[in-house]
Amino acid sequence: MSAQDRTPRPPRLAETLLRLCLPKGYRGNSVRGDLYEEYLERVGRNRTGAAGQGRIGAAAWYWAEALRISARYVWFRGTRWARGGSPSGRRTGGAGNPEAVAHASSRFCRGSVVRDLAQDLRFGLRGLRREPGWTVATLGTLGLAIGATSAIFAVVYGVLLRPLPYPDPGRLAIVEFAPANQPALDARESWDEYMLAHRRVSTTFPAYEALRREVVGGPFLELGAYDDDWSYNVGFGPGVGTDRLSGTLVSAALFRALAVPPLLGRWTSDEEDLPGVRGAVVLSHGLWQERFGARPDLDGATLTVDGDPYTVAGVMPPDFHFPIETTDLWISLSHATRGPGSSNYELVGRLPEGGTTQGATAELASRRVVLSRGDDPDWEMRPSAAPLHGHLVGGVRPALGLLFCAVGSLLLIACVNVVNLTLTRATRKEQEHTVRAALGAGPGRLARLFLTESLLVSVLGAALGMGLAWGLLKGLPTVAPDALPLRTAIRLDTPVVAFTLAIALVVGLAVGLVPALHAARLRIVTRFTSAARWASRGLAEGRLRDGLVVVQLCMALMLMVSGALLVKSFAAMLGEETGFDPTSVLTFETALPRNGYGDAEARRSFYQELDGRVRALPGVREAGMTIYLPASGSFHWNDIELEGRVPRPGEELRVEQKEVSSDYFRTMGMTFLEGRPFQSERVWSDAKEVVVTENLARRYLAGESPVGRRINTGEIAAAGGSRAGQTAGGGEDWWTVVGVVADIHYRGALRNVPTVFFPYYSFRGGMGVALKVDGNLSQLTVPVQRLVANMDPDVTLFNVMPLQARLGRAVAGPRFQALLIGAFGGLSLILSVVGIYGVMAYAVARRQREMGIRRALGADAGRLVGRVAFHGLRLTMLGIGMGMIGVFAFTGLLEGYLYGMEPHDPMTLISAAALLAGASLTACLVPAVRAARADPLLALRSE
Amino acid sequence: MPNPNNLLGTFEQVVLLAILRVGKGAYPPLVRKALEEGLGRSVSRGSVYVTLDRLEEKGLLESSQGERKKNRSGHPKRFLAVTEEGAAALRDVRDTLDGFWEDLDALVDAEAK
Repeated sequence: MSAQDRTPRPPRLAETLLRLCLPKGYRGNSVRGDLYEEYLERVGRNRTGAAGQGRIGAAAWYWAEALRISARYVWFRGTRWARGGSPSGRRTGGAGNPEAVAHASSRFCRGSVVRDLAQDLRFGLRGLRREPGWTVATLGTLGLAIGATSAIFAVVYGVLLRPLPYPDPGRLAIVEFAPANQPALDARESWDEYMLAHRRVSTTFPAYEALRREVVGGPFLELGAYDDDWSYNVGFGPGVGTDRLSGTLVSAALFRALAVPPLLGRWTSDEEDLPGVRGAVVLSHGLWQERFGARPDLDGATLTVDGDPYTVAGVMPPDFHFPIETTDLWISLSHATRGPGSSNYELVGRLPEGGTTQGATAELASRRVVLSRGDDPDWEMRPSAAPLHGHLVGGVRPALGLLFCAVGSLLLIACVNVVNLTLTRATRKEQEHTVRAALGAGPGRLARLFLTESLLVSVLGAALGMGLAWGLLKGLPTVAPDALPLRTAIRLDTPVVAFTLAIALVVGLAVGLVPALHAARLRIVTRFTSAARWASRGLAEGRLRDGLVVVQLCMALMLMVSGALLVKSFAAMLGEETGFDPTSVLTFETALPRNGYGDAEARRSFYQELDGRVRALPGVREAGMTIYLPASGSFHWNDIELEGRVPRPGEELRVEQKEVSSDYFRTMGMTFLEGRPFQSERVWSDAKEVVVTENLARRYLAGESPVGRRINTGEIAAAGGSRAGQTAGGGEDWWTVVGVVADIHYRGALRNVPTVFFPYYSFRGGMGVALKVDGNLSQLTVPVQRLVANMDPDVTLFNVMPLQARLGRAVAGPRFQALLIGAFGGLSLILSVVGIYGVMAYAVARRQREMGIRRALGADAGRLVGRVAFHGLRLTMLGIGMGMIGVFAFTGLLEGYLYGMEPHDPMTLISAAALLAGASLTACLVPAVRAARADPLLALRSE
Repeated sequence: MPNPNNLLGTFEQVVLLAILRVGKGAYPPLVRKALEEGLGRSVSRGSVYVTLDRLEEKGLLESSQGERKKNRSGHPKRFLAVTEEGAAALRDVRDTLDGFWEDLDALVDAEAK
């Protein structure tokens, strides 16, 4: 059955709205039935078969009617409730009781409730206009907090909660692997998070095929494989040139598992995955528009990927992304490495109808499916299934949770502030309310006035907040780290708007309830007697306000400490000794096409010439080349053997290995602690020499000098091509250590893993170049591009940028967190100071007369100030004390985000507490001093 | 003698009259259609539903639940009928207003002079 033949359904959200607003029982249901009947007619599927206005028109009509009818019912019930009737709409007068009928009739005909509500709204608006200071403070506070909360919610919702944009996404699973006969992966100290995450989900092609045979038709409906996103040289025909594009190698089965139909053409086929055949690619919508002019017929369209010709099979719809949002094309596996040595494939499967990942895992276990790790036959891996969504967003979940908690605290602080502001205002307007009460307004009427006002303010605040959230989300792409997945799912749409409105409603009710209750307790007689003005009636209320301030200070301290910790940690990260000098270094990457560069000698001579030519560019002092520039996200690791060092059982001497040209050390400004660089008069050294980082000696040689020792790397030269995997071991290949350089540190370097630098000899098709430059780096960009194009227009040049910018990208995640939580911390400080100022100013204003009398009786002004300040000091200390407890209880959560510092860093704690205490004491003293200086007679007379 | 407290709003009156005119099988969409034809203007669904609820609560009309059908997404129809009290209220209104309408032309002319 095609989608067109299915019975049309009206918009679900509109239906839900109706269900919420209409009366319960068949009366309400009959209204929905009536609407559905007409909806069907409008769709064009009525019994007569007459043409309708189509689904979109009918849905729009349904929405409009649902909104109108719901509004009508809400108004109907609201007015009835406000008049003291039953909101449920039950009968209040019997049919046989003409008086009751008449009463009910007259009640609605007069419409006084409507007038009351309109009047309340008018009063509310007038009140806001009359006190612009109060209005700006309240709306600003609410707008800021609601806006920040909505924006963060949009991110959290988009990334963590919104279902993945594939059909029936709950049935998509990623296959994870755990060692069956070896210690658990995370027990291996030398592995960092990246290695763990990679090893947990990656496998070899033979293992994929074996697993696929075993599970398809059983625990999985379909199982596909993909190789992580990577960049390729993509050629669009002779003379058009090549682009460096982001592509993902995928098996045809992966498309079937994801089940998103192509917009145009077809997916790749199983035959196109076979080795040696002509492969096929599927284009992203963006690439199709950009490079194929969105032409609808793709018959015979071809392109080349790294020199190999591919057929263009189809185009995916614009909202299809996999595995990341920037993937330009999906490439069949015809030219993929599929040996047992490269563990580069990740497996995604679709579970059968009603299947769960737990069920699939249990079935895999019961079938005793075990695969060999491929690159190490001693390892047996046991597969299990986990939700794909969790895998795609797993890394950012805790960080987003943290942000959401932080922004929630900010919202709470803002609410407390607004409650305090509203209470202060309510007290100022006591006289006015007393007059209203005397003129016949009941406590309920007054309470309603307050609630209407606070809801009005919160809705206006939410409107401002939505604007702010919109702006923040617009700016998100510039500050959010590249690692933030599913960005296109982040938008301001119905769930986010609904969330914002819900916040506004809760905030409005919470903020309005306190003064509303306060108003409901007004006693006309006592309020008119001036004695009541300074009676102890305010005691309970005062305690409430004090309590609110304490809560506020406590939350503010927690936010400030979190923000300060993250900012300090980020600064530490930036200021850290990297082991090289990234200033005045321009970097770029190159990729050679396969045609013409088939043998190593051709590649060698190209880079030899490039080296000579870039050195001739004006301003270039030094040029170095490497297979992986720092922070490029790529690296090799390998297990080595050290001469004279017998490893303990189970110990792996793990290193990161990097091939560099002889001048790389000088270009990067690396410090030699011992020994020398490769001895060579040429760019490339043929000597079997290596340079190691200091921590190799510290870690594996108990501090002894490694210079002169030999390292066996196994057959690393044979392992070219794998970019983030372990190279194959076995065999003997001995190298002599000739120098030791300082440790390399930057976010993105393998933490604590020693690095071994080899002379650049493998001459693969891609290379990173670093230039030490005198003068402006950006002036060199164009000459470099021109130079490479002159040498060979088919060579792809990409990522031309200063080394510092490259390193900056590596710290985008921490920068994002430090920026946001730091901003929340700063805002919370301002809001709390405003809050405590408001409370103290109010307390002082209430005691103006008392202070006047004390002054008149000869009390010392200083002592009066002291009394007020003591009160503020008590609140501050209480708030800070509670905040400290909170800090110790919760900042442990930050541990994973802090770099080189403890979550309970005493200096940060003390400075934040001192700053908050100082600011809040100042806020206390200002009104106290003002009151103490006031003329006591004036204060007395004002009564 | 008409009860002066029992006056209905104009819209309530026309809704009751429309139900009577539709007769057996009257349900809200048909009543609304009759209203639009009679009044010569469009009438919002919400106001019809709310007025029907209000009239039913006053006991001036009664409703019964129809069967659930697929073309109504399984929701029943609400069939409407004017009660005796409803008919009496309509008569009251007519009698009261008739008294006021009497000699309208003569009164207007006298005012003009």
